[in-house]
Amino acid sequence: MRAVCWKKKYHVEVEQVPDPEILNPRDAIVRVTLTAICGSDLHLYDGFIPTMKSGDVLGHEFMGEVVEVGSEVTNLSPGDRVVVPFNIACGRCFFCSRHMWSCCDNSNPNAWIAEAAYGHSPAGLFGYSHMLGGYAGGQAEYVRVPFADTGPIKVPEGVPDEAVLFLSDIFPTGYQAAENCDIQQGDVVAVWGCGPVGQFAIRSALMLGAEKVYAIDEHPRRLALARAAGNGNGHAGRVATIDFDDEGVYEHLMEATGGRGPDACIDAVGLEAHGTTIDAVYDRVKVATRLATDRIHVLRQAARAIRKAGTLSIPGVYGGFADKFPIGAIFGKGIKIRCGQTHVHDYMKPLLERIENDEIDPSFIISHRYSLDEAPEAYHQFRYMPNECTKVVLTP
Amino acid sequence: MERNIAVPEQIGSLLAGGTMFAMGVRRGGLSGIMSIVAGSALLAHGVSGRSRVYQALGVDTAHGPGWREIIERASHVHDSIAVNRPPGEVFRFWRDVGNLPRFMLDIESVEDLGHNRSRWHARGPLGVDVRWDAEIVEEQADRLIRWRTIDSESNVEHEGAVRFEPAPGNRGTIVRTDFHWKPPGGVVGAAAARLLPQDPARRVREDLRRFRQLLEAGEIARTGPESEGSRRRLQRQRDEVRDEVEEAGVESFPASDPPSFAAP
Ligand SMILES: NC(=O)c1ccc[n+]([C@@H]2O[C@H](COP(=O)([O-])OP(=O)(O)OC[C@H]3O[C@@H](n4cnc5c(N)ncnc54)[C@H](O)[C@@H]3O)[C@@H](O)[C@H]2O)c1
Ligand SMILES: [Zn+2]
Ligand SMILES: [Zn+2]
Repeated sequence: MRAVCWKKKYHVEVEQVPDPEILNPRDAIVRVTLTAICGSDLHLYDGFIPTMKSGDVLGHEFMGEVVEVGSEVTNLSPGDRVVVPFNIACGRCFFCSRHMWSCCDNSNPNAWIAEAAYGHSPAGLFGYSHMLGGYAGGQAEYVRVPFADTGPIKVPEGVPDEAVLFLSDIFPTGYQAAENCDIQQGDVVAVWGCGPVGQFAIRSALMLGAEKVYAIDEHPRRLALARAAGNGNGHAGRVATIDFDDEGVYEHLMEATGGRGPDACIDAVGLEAHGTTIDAVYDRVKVATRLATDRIHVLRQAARAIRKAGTLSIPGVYGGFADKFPIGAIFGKGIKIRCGQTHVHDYMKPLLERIENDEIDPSFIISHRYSLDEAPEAYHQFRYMPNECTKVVLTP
Repeated sequence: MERNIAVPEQIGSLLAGGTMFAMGVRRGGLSGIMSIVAGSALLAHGVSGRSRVYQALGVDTAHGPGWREIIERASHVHDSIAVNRPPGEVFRFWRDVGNLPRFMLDIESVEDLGHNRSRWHARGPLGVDVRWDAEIVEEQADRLIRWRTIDSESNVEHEGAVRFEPAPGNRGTIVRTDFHWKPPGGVVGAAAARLLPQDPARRVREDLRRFRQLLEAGEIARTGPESEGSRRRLQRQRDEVRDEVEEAGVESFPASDPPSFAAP
């Protein structure tokens, strides 16, 4: 089959790889009908995530048609249309049985690598480095889905692929990020990053009752899309934007909240944060010279701006070590931190219902459509034209 | 503070630090200063061979394990794992010795001979076949199994115990394993076992992980050839071609001995 393969930093190619086969009784094989490139894939593209090997099949946001199931998969049959969560979870371990799906104990065949780095291994992921399982991803014609009796959700005919694809990752990720803020009536939420995750976090914060959302980025079109979040759903005027190139984010947020600061802050940027302030430049040098691995400019800004005893929710991905972590502000102000890979499994059903009830059509985020064979161009667009390119889908 | 940075790393730090320092000086400005600062830190790392960060992290790249430690490590491994199933079930799974090769990667087969005896066949270091008979010398239902070799045609002496404890709050079972063995070939065997990727502590850890996967998930997580990356895929294609060529050869010269590991 054809698949999008990571070759080296800044370089992906569509290659011929062996067709996947059922290996375990709880497996299914899915013929991919639609897949997407995620901001997390850009961390791979930019070489920020260790243990990638040349030729690894990318992609963790995908959906398609079940073509084959293992002997123990009784809830799915060939022909079913499914969306697959990006984390692979067994459904029966200590963590899965407590709905902490992204912490599954049993889905990472290379758990020892992550264990050496983190002390424990999180769940395996599709197409996301050998440290996180080494599973071939879904930017391909076919994909093997382990624990298919636990993860995939069937979607009804009539709802288009583009409307449900993002149940695999970014919609639940934005939603969980907002949910983690424990939003109370009247709360002000600030969201760093107006990429796909930020956009869904903004919309979810509104759904969960945020009074006002401040969205921060530097790309005018992404900021405009953020402002549009309130349109046509009774939330008009609830989203304001801050261009971090033009003005001080802290100053703007203090002015807006009378100095109290946002009740909750969401970092939807992650370890590749941009910035021109001294600390951001310092981060870049440290990372470039391998003295640190993650750039935490946004975390520092958020820890400074957030109101005392507020909640800092971090869906943005971090991978290693950071320098000048603002532990003083976090401690001194009594900040709660919530973070981690999304427990996608829990959100697919309720969010599918919201889609079916016309509360949201997640396809608003798509700006570019390509065939699978055009993946190198698609990655290039998403990476280098973030203003125009908000989200790319690929059709195999 | 003692030296805790290995010489090659010292040299690397000196080279990288020097380059960054020079770059910083040439570039100037804020990013130049940053580069000088970072470069100086690396230079210090290289010159002194001592790192407080390493000390704090318990990292030491200068001192490898000594011989005695290697042999000691190779001959006794203790480990433990929490399994999200009740002790009775976990105990019964282990007690059914036929299950053991399903998660112990080095064990080819275990045959239950009755009367608490079993016959083991393992793949030792360097692919050498190792065989022994073992006997359960102590058993407490749902709590403990202890066994040792009684007869070994390969001269391995092995002793093992596995304990099953209810985890606090009845959250499954904590399984604790103790394995002792005198490796075939004594010191050399132990050293070889250490050199191979399957060093015993690591191997036991992986075995226990697979054990948990079988009990909880009912299967062992793995990936197929589509997940292998270009280099391995290419190698596999070459192997397939070679196998075809060899098969053609076997057809013209049939009747070799059946492989030694064939089932009795
Ligand atoms: N936790 C999870 O399970 C999960 C799932 C999906 C994605 N993610 C992560 O979420 C993050 C965002 O994903 P995405 O798809 O939206 O990526 P993206 O790259 O499209 O978006 C990131 C946005 O952040 C903006 N940004 C950069 N520096 C900034 C700064 N200093 N202040 C404000 N904004 C800044 C960029 O301009 C960009 O618009 C990534 O780190 C991704 O890996 C996490
Ligand atoms: Zn993603
Ligand atoms: Zn699990």
